[in-house]
Amino acid sequence: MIRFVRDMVRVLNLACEQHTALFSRELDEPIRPGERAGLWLHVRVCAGCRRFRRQMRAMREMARSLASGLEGGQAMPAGVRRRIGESLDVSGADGGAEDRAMAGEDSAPGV
Amino acid sequence: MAAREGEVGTVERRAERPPPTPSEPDAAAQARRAAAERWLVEHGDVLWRFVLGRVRSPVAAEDIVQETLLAAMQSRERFEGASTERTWLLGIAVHKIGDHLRKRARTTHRSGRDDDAPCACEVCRALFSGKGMWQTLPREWDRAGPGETPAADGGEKDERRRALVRCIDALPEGQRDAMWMRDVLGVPSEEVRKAMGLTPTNLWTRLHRARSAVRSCLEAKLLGRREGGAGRSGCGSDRGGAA
Repeated sequence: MIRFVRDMVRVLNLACEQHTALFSRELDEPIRPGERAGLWLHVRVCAGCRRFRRQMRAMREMARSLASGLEGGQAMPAGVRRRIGESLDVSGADGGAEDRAMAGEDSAPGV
Repeated sequence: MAAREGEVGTVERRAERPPPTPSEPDAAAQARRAAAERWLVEHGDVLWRFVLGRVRSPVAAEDIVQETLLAAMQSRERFEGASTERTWLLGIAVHKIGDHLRKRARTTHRSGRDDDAPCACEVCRALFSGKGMWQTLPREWDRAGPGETPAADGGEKDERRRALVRCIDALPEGQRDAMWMRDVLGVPSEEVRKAMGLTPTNLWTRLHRARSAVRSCLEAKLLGRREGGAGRSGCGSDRGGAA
């Protein structure tokens, strides 16, 4: 309880610029209950922080929708897929040579 | 076997660990190749759309997807499974795109910028007073302007998304990669932190600076358009960005 009150008071005493850093941080990890309560109280009375926080959340939603937009649409052209597949084949064989060298087997000079 | 028991030193150590049979490395190479072929089938289209959407050049996109899969083959053992396989591959693609954009920036004489520098554009600078209090309130780019329909229609949403991509791509490289991984792809913070070699505080600071800059950039781009280009200059708004 003491920690809760201490966190809340600390957050309430921060400048708005520091509140914006907390709005960003709460997108990445849960902040402490006292900090959350302090922010909640602050945005009741601060229009700038209220708007900033709303825009941070809107940006996150827009960003996530970019990723979900990857699910449908243009497929990889067949020629590109074939060329990449062939390059993986070659590289896989090289990787095998590396494995052989690491395992102490005879390998070509310089490998 | 009896003769081997009488020997000492390296021979004994060899006896503890049987010599690799020729099939072992081949099996490892085959497994690696099989995994890469499966990624190409299962995630190839998503990787293609993601990369092409960022670099806009099919030739560059092909190279980047190929480099991504090759890098993934080499580091397959390091995939810890904290995120999905697709997210992991997209995270590698973010780095490869970053390399590509950096090379392109060098050729177009764009100077590298500090990854942890705070946004210094006009919109960001005007927001706070020296004491960190609001000097100019953030403007409402996320809501409809006067006379517009309240809900953004499909075209409006597309335009916002395009603006978002341009704004993210205009960030300094480290901020850009962090924001793509964390906000767009949803890679867990812990994984982004490890991939970029940052402490938790460094990552939060970097993401905060990136998001603040992108917010200001969106304000300038979206409201500048509504006001016929009369908006303030925002972060990245004077740069073409990658998109």
